[in-house]
Amino acid sequence: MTETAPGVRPAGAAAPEGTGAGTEHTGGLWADGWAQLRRRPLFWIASALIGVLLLMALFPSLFTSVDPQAADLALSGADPSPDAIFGRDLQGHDIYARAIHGAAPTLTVGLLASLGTVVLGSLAGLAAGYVGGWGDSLISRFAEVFAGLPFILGGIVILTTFNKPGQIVGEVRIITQVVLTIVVLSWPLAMRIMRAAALEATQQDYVKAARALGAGPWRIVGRHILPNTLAPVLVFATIQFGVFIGAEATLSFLGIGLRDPVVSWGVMISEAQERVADIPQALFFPAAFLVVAVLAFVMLGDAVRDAFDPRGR
Amino acid sequence: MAAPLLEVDDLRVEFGTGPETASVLNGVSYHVDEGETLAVLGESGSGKSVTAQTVMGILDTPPGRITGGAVRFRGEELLGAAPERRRLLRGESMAMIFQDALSALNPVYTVGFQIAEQFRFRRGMSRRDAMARAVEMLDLVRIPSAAQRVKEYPHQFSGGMRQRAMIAMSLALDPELLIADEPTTALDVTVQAQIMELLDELRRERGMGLILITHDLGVVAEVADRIAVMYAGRIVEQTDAASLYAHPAHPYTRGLMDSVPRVDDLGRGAGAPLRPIPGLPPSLSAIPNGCPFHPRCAYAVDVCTDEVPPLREIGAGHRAACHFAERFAAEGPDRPATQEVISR
Repeated sequence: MTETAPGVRPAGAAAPEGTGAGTEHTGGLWADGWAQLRRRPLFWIASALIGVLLLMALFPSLFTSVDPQAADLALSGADPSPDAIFGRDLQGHDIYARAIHGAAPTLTVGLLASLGTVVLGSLAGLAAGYVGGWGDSLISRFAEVFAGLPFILGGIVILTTFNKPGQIVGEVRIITQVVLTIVVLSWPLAMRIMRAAALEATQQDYVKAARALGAGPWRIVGRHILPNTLAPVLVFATIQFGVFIGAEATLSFLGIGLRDPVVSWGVMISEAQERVADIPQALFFPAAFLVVAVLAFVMLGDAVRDAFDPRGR
Repeated sequence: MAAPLLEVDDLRVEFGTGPETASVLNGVSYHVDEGETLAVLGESGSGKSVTAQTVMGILDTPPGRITGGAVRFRGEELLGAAPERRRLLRGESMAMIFQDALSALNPVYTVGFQIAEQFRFRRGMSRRDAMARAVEMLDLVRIPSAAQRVKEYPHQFSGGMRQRAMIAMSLALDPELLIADEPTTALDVTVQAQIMELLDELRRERGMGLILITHDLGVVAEVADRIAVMYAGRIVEQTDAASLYAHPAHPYTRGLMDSVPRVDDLGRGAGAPLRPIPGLPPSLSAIPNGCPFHPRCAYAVDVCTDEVPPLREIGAGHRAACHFAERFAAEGPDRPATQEVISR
């Protein structure tokens, strides 16, 4: 599968790929795509925002020295002030510090869930679309089993099976569980998109022409089918990034997803809902971070899609 | 005599199963020698392309099913050969170009990249060397300023240029046999002539065999050495180009020739009617008894509805599948054929 590996690159790691691939105009898909990408302001704005968010996630101490867990009930619901510029929530936490520290778990869940969904779904979809026949039926029926589960119900069943309600669980473990839960319940969507695209691409004359020139199955899938199916999956991935952050918040709200001591924007939003009229800043700031993050990834996805689809040039 | 470059022997292909089974090829036989152009002529659905795809080994199975016959390349039987062996032959020994070059070229790669791919994967060349060879190939097919065009995408090429690029791609590995599946159908007439000329020149330069699939009699007239006419999955007539035009021995061939509008028809006044072959080709899941052409044949008599006429030799290298082939051949193409021909 080495040939298909570059396929997932633009979804997750297009930004750091700046090692001059575009300097030689070889006509390769990725080199040309990168050359196109460099010329787009949208790409640079999105990259800058994502860069800041990544910095926030990796080095929260650059932005704040306040402990996100430090709570002073006496200051519960305090308005924004020089002391805590976003104000304080019901428990008296510094909202700014929590929002900064919430970046890491939020982005981790969003990225890993998007990546997992796209990789798993795409591989299954490619296999189904290219192999066709009974292989297609097998994969499609199997996917329907998962697609048929309502997301919330499925999430509750899976997560409560692993953790008893109210149980204190470690950060890595709960994040892994939430990501896997989202991936398991969402991969059929990516699979269907990829399958449809692969079915269409497999029927194209250029695939037949490639076979007529002696291309083997791996080269056909990797070089001819996959690049022509990536655009819809990339768009899906960027949209799902936001959806998955929302899904994480939903699971957190139900008390089965991320939870204290992990701070995520989803956790903060769920906590804020109880007293939204009294303490609006507790909802507003994490929601604003969430919106900016989702917007940045959607813009990046748009730019990547345009750059890698030569028909749009 | 050595084995011909390519020999198709009694090839039979069906599509579908049960009562829906369509017999797409019902015993097709032809051969091509080195440096020779064989034109395969027929209407849509006559099985021309299916034969070509079966030869190349790119027929989709299912729904297709090869039920009999043989395909031999330089005497080597291909239908039973290992898939890997056949894959290696493709591109290297036999290649194919398609009717619509726009959809036959991958839209996400530059033209040069797609040609270079052959050299990189099959010859192990470096990216740079392969690209240089791609420029040479584009030069070979007379694309002006090839060094620049090599970096462009298929959609930036004109129709004729795309077909040239497709030819360059097919010839990259120097195949001995090129199958051109209606290479000029999607092009306008002046470009058609250029592409045909190019194919003819390349064939001569490289001494390769060329199978030219077309439904256009005019296209093949100048370049074909031999012509095979197909109808309903059978070869109905096969001979050298000159005798086909001088002595068409099958009413279907004759009908094809008559249906070509001619400039001298204008002399008969505006609105001189075209002379199409009446009716439609038979459904391949219900081919009529007897001669498959009899429902559309103006000369059909009782024997035509009962007996399938075999493809038989009626002259030197001239074979036809009509009960009255000799009489038609003797008539020549221009006499208005009448029922008398066979009632004599």
